[in-house]
Amino acid sequence: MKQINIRKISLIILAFLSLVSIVFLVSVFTGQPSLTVTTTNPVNNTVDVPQTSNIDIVFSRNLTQSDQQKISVVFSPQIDTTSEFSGNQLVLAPKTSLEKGILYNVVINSSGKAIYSFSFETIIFTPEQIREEGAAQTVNDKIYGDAFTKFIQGSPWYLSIPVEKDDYEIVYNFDKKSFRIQLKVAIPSDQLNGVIQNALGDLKAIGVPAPISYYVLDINGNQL
Amino acid sequence: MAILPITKATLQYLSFGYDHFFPEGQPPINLPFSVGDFDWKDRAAFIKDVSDTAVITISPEDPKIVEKVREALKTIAEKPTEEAETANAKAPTKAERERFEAQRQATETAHKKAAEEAAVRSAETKRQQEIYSREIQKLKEAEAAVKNKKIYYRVQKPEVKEAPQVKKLEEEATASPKKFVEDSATLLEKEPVVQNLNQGQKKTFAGQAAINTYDVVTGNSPAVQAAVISGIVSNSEILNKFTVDPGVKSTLTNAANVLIEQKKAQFDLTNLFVDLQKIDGIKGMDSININYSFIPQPGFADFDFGQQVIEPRIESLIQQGLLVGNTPGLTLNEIGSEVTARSNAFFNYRFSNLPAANPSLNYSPEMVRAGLSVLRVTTVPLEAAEGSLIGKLGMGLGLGPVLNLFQEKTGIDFGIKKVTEAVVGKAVGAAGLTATLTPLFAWAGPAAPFLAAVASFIAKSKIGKFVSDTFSKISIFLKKNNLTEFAAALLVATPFGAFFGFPGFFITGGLTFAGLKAANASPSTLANFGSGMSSFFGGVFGGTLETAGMVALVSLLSFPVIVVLILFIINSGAYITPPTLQTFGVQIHCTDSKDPVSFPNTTSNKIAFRAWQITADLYEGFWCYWNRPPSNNPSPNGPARSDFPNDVTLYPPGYPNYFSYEKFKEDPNGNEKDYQDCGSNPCMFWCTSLIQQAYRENGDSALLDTLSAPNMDTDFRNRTGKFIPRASTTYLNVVPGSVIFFGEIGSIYHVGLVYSVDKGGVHFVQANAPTKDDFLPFGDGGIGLESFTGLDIDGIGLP
Repeated sequence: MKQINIRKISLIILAFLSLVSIVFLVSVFTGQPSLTVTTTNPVNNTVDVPQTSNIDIVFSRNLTQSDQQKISVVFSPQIDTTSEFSGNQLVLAPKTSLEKGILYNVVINSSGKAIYSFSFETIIFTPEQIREEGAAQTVNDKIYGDAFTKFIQGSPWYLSIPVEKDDYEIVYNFDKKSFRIQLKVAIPSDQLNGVIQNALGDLKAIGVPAPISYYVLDINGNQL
Repeated sequence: MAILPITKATLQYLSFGYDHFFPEGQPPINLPFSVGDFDWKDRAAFIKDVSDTAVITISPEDPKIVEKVREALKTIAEKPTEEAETANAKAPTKAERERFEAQRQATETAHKKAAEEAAVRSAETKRQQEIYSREIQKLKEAEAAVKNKKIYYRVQKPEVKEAPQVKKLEEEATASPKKFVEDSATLLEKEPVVQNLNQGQKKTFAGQAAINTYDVVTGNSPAVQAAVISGIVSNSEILNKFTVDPGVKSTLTNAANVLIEQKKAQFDLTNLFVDLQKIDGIKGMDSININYSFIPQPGFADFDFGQQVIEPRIESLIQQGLLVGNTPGLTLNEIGSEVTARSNAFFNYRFSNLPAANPSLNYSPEMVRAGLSVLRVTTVPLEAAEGSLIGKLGMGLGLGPVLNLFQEKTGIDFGIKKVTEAVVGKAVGAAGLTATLTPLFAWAGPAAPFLAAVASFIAKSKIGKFVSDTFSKISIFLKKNNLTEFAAALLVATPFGAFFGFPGFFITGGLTFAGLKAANASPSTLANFGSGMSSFFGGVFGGTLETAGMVALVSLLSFPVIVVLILFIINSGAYITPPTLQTFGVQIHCTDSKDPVSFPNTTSNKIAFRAWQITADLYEGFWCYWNRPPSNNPSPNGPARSDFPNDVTLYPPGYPNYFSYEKFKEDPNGNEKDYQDCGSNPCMFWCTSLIQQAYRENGDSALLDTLSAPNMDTDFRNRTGKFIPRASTTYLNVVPGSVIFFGEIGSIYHVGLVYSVDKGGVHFVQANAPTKDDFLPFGDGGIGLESFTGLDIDGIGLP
């Protein structure tokens, strides 16, 4: 009796193992193609991702119940998300806003094996900052722009300043309300007047009307 | 211990030795390291120490450093180059060092003072808002006390023969109040009187005028409202009908007085655009008679204190609280922007709450246009950025008391006058800042205060400088005797007074001087005398002999300045320092292609290099400023957009596209205030965006996450050795990649990024501005950056 029982048990085990093997082989040769990730949103290396973004992962095929159970997504740094599968897509919604200015690495695993990884960086500025600081800066930049435009309308020649030549540079000294002709090289005294005339000619050429107020500095910064 | 005396040669060697360790535009080789008492964490700290110190000690405890210095010095010594000669020439002289130190100390003192003032202001703001809360509570109690109590009134006003077009206005206003006001505002915005103002101010002034025109057309003139309220609170018998409680009476009277001034300001302001007298015959409160009745009668309207006085007063207190809380600083621009913002918000609210249309009536915008064209007045255009304009606007919104406070604190003349110094003193004594809650201001005449305030503003901000440049002798005389402002303040008030024969104008002159005196706080005998005089003028006896005599005396003294002022007014557009001249064609223009930066990208500094690229890639966007990145850059959370299909990115990598195409399509040239709500995505590539992008792409993680130029300024100031005040900048301590802060501490407007530096000045690149790059000169000797726009430079932030 005992021998028969052992034989029966052995047969049962053998049959079971065979069945498992057959199922395995059938699944290998006739089952679903392997799962891959085709795209994500944010895409890899995206920067300035809003803090309230969801993470969308699109797979190469529709996900079966089995696939869904095998998939896991690991964030670094870690975040808590809710997940929702739909067709070939997995949407992960962070339970709290993402941190600003953080580089998140995301690894997608299937059955514990990494099948895809990507990273993205969240926006440096919060929506509140963009709304409030940006609004204020818009106004401030406009103030600057208006003032600058008014200035240039009165002094269009300024857009051609500084005048750079081999032997001198001309800038406008706002404190002195006068053009400064800075010599770059030592000029013999008998040639100085000619250089100054050239400089004044340059100023006239860019639209500075006469009389032109100016002063000259030698190479050492001494006024001539 | 080696002691190196500061000589030109030593400086040269140290400078080159330092360059050896801290190569420009590249990461430092050794950071941080200390030498003796010094901690040279960056170039600025090094330069400062060299500049400030007579002797530099090198500690033998750190042989590696000594060895490196030796190596560097040896290299330099063995290979004297032209650069070495240049460096020698660059070494600051003793006089320059002393000047640096004096400037540094002065700047430090100024910053300390500014910080102290900011702390005081913060405390005052808090206290102020507590006062508003208490006042609102009191008003609500008063409202409860007078609930359901009414009196009745009838208005007797002059007869007027209306033009047919004007008569039609009433029909249009009835047909669609909302459209009537909106269309009126649009039309009035184009009137010459506001053409010198910025878009925000135009909109606000026109909005106020449109609403009040509607009020007048529909028989609810602000002048009538003021007259009705005035008649009630000035008659104790009528007031007793509402309450006999002295406390409640006081609350009601105070609220009424503020509202009266508010209505008068609205009336005055609207009359700058349209001749309201042509509509209802009323030229002011004085031309109205009111009959009151305690019982309802035919032809009488009822008056409800709660609805007609207390609730508007509570609204104005809320607006004041918002103004105090939201005003970032105390410059005219900051206060003005907030007043304009508050006003626009309020008008938008008013507009949106007006009935849209009566379906049984036809509305015709053409008739509105025709009616308003009959009413239009020819007025001298208002000058932008005048404190008195802001005052006028604020008064119309009921912000007079808080502007009065700002006026006291800042010296900016908002044209808001107190009745007498004595009364003010009492109010201030009673509750510190109670002056802001107490209706102690009054306009001295229908137009004089406004005009005199404009004059005083001109006098305060511009005339002194102009006088000194043009008529130096007169200026010296006036300044010597502390008369410049006094004279300037009175010179306009006096002719007006003389011309119109209104003693009130003389009062204004005296009061204006008081305001100027407060602004400058310059003690002098004459100033004190003037203050006393203004108190006297401010009282009931403005037309006495003493008053007139003093005005005459001062007028004589100030007569020469009248000539100057006339010249100044003629040339008022030319106060910017460079010579203003024939226009050769302004080179600021709108284009749909990207202009290049005006110099090639040759720097070795990585931040400056990238900033050049980013700037070069910008297109013109809002107001034709360079604030639009290529649309083929990725949007913040997705692929590139194709709003501008011809866009190209010349200098990748692209970056998130900071631009609101939706807003741009709406209005590419709108009022900057319209861009305050772009949602959670940026509207445009701000000047600060360029700094952030260029710094972050080069790994500078120390930069504060901010898009606000003032915050960025504070960030650099807070980091040791990263900020150089303007006066202390030199061609030695400003380096490529530095940030230029335009404006003043606490009110920075704009930033640019230094591309290159030489003894003559700095080239810089910028975003969200009319040009992509520009040049700022140093003063002589390469010291102290100069500003070209009239907007100061606060300083330089080092990378």
